[in-house]
Amino acid sequence: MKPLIHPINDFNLDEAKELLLGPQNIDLDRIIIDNLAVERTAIRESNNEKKVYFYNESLERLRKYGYERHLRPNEAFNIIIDALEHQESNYKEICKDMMSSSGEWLSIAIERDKDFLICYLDPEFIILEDNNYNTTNISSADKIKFYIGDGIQSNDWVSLKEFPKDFTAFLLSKSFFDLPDKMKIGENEIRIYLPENGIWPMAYRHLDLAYNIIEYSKHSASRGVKKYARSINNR
Amino acid sequence: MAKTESQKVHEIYGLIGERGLYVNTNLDLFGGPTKDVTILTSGYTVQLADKETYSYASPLLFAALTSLLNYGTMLITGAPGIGKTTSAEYAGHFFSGVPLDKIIQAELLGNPNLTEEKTIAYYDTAKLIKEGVRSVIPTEFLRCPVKIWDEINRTPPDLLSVAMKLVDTGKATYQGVTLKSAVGPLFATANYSDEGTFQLTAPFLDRFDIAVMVTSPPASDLEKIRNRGDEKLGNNLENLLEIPEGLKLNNEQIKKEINALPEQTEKGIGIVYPFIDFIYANLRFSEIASDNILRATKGNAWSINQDNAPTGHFQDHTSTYTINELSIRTIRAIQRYAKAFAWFTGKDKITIKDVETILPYALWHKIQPTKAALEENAKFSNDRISFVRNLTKSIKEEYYSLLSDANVKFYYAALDILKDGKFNNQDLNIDQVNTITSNAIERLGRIDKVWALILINHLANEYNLFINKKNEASNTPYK
Repeated sequence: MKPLIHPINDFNLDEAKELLLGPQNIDLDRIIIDNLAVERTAIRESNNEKKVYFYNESLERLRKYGYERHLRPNEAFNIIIDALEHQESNYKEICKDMMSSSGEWLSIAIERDKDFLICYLDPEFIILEDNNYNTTNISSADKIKFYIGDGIQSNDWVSLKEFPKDFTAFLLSKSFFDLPDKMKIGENEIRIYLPENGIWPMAYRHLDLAYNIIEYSKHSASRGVKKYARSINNR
Repeated sequence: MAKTESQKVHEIYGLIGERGLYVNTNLDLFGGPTKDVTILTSGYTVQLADKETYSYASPLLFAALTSLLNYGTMLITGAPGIGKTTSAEYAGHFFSGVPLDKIIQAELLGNPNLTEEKTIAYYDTAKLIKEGVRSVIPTEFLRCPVKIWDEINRTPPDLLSVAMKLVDTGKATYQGVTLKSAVGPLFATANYSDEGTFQLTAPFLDRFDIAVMVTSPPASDLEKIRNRGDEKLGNNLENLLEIPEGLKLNNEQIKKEINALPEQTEKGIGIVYPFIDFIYANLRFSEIASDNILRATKGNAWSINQDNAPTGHFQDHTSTYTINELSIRTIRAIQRYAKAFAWFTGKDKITIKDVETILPYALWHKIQPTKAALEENAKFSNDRISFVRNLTKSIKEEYYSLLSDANVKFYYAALDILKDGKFNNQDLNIDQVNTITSNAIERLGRIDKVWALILINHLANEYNLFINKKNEASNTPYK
């Protein structure tokens, strides 16, 4: 029997079967920001600007400090959105640090394949060689392909509202229209700057002129994150 | 090096234009990627071909492809006097190799006095009188490999119902005798409605594999048409109709090559036919038809259809833009023309892009837009090709949003289990298979989309078939 649709992503079907067989049918897809320990401030230079790193250098640095990876896009935007929406948000300080100075690495690399975007979540082995990234040996926790249609330009700032809803939800955990005004209206509109060729690590940047940008980058600032296990006693 | 058959077809296509026989540079169809340029002031869009992309005029291109297929059927619509019949005549001559005189001689002209005897066949009256034997003689029209039914919508409806079988199967029945028409294309032309035309019914239109709207040639083409010469002033077209020796086509070989063309695959799995099937499934869905998923199809929305239905749960879905669903005949025609187009453009496999390219021409005359669709853009009432193109774009976006959804893995996982009831090479008991199927359905059911219902319906059917098989294997009594 053939599926009605063809798979574009490499799913772990055994894991899915285990889940379906189990009585609890647990939802594993949701990421809960509360279970993450996020580096409170990015490393800064003496002039108070954030220190920028190549992607692999940044990964090495944060691991040296006991972190596992950079923030995934949805984690980074959960922090920002929470801080923008709630006066009493716990993330106000982190958000302020994230939105100042240089952009910061996200735990995602993106490849443009005509009408598709291939997203590599938690990418590894993006190595700087001769001032360019070599991604020949890239590996990732997940590789997800999105159809974006043929009207999206690369190397241009394109509003996220132009993208299919599933891609926006993947990046932001929200639809574009559910974003706070400071991320969707006028100059604040969140935009993405896609590469035309090759696999590129992505960074988030907030410009003083009120642009929110996700862009492919060569060097960006570094902020680590690690999961911490909650014991029952801590609840 | 000898020319391939597709190269020859390309050259003939070019030749017809170069000789001024069919000049129309309304290039509305592209063999590869294009870039849209929107005119800021008026909102109109023009398409510019990327490098290495060829562009074509749909009337001549589809007339060519139709000529290359067995019993291909094509409807050509448009205003009078702009080349509808001409494109069919020249394509028939050059691509089927039938002399133009013979094609014109066999042509039918729709009119209220047309009878079965003029259309299909007649008795050999001499034989009937002399020998008393009823011998049926097929008409020139039926015997000619290239059949042109001009102004078909001037033909009375009762004769059109006779014609329906011919268009569908290449066969016709006269006085109880079934006659097979000569293998070849059938072209029908239709002017837009006026006081002398009859309404072509939906079942009749469904018989046409492909349809084009012929647009008058742009002013820049008129010079080329003038240069061809004027037959009414004594210019002879004979030499213009000659098919160069090196361009004679091997039509049997062409059909074989088209038929053998595989679909594009990803990771070893075909990706084109699932896309066609998704279009079918999407347009087939009708919320108002039934509460039972199995019967929730447009074909079953016979009393209240999408136009007079109360507001449903899925208000913005692509299925709400059409009144009717697609026939199996249409699905087969889409596949056939996508193959032919891919072959024509020199590809070694059919791609989703090929399907997208031909789809508007395979559907626009069959699909009825809903009031909601026409309210969004009143121009869709005239320009059904744009309507289908927009609809296809939306369906494609929905298709890929489905493919990107993480929950789809539960569909694949459950389907994989239902193949043989095994997990990790171990047999699962029926309760476990039921748990897996139910949980997968529950997971997919969290997605508030029509496609989730389509996948759920598929899982439920496969599960029921699985249980049937188990019961048969264990000789469970029928109950």
